[in-house]
Amino acid sequence: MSRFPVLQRRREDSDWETVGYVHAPDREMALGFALHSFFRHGEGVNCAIDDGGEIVTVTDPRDVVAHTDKSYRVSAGYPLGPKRRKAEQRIAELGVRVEGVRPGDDV
Amino acid sequence: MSTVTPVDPAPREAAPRLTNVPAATRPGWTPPDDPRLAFVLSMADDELMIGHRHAHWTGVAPTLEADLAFSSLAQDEIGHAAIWYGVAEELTGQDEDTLAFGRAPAAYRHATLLEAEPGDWAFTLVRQHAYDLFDHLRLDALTDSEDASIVGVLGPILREERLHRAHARAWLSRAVEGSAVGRDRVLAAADQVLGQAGGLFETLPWEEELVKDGTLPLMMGDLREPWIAALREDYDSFGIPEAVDGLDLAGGLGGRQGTHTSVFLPLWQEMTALFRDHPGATW
Repeated sequence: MSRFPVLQRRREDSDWETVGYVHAPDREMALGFALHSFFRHGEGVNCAIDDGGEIVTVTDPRDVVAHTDKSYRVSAGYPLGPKRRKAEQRIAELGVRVEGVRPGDDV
Repeated sequence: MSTVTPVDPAPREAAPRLTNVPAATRPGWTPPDDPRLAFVLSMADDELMIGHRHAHWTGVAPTLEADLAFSSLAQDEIGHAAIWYGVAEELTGQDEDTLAFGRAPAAYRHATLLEAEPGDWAFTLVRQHAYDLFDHLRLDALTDSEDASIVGVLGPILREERLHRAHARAWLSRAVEGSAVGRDRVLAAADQVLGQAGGLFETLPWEEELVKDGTLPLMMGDLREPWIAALREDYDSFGIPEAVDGLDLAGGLGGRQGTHTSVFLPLWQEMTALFRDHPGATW
């Protein structure tokens, strides 16, 4: 197993940057692992691995982006604002007040 | 010599329970007799089961990279299941959770191969490869369906399935190229998996009717020959053509008709526990 640097282009006009490493027996599997490990949430527009100084990119950039909804994998998939507003509204409807120290208040 | 004095364990506090929802009282939802619904549920259930079984490797796969990859594959498959349950929702008015978790075990239409326990790594890879080959052929055939709601969701699923097949092929070829142990384990797994693969092609309820009305461009059994050809081509390239010799697709039947193996009930209980305990809960 060899260690391959994983490269990303965040946008079309961006330069390649290293985003991490994968261990794989060869470049083909390294590229596959790079896709699965680093590029399933639309992180960039292209992906490559560095194989001993040779930059090997994916053959089809469509593989780089996620196609079905997996928003639950990223923090944006958990919108807390609406939940907080709903809780505040319910508290107001109940006519009660939340008292006591909250995390961070006692620092 | 030291002695150990048994100590009565401190009484444990009862685990906190959700109190905003009633205890489980709701009976399981039964799908109506509808040909299109039966077909869509068969695809959704296939994807849910394989996704759930793939997820067993999260945290315990042979390498970190394999762990991440299989976790991603599991999420893809469950995402695809959600898409098909979404199509079923249009047909029934039932929400995705009810469709996925609110049915009695006999109402599930997946192939029994997909409910089998993950087994070893070789079993998982061989099953993933066999199923993804089949799924690709099925999806590809459906591009000629006259059902717009089915054709409309194929694009993103097909694009992700390409990655799945590449992943399975890459792993299997390396497993076979390595030591004799790897080759033997893949052959043993192929013997197990391929012997149960007939259920993938099992005739669906009302299948002829679906072909007549154009929902299905062909009978699911018509996918057997192209699947065997694709399988043979891949196993030739892996260097173990004997894995496909004498292939018998008579096994693994029953799932499309709602008859499942003994491992399905505990799987169903695990998957549906939260839904059944707290009907109506949101999170």
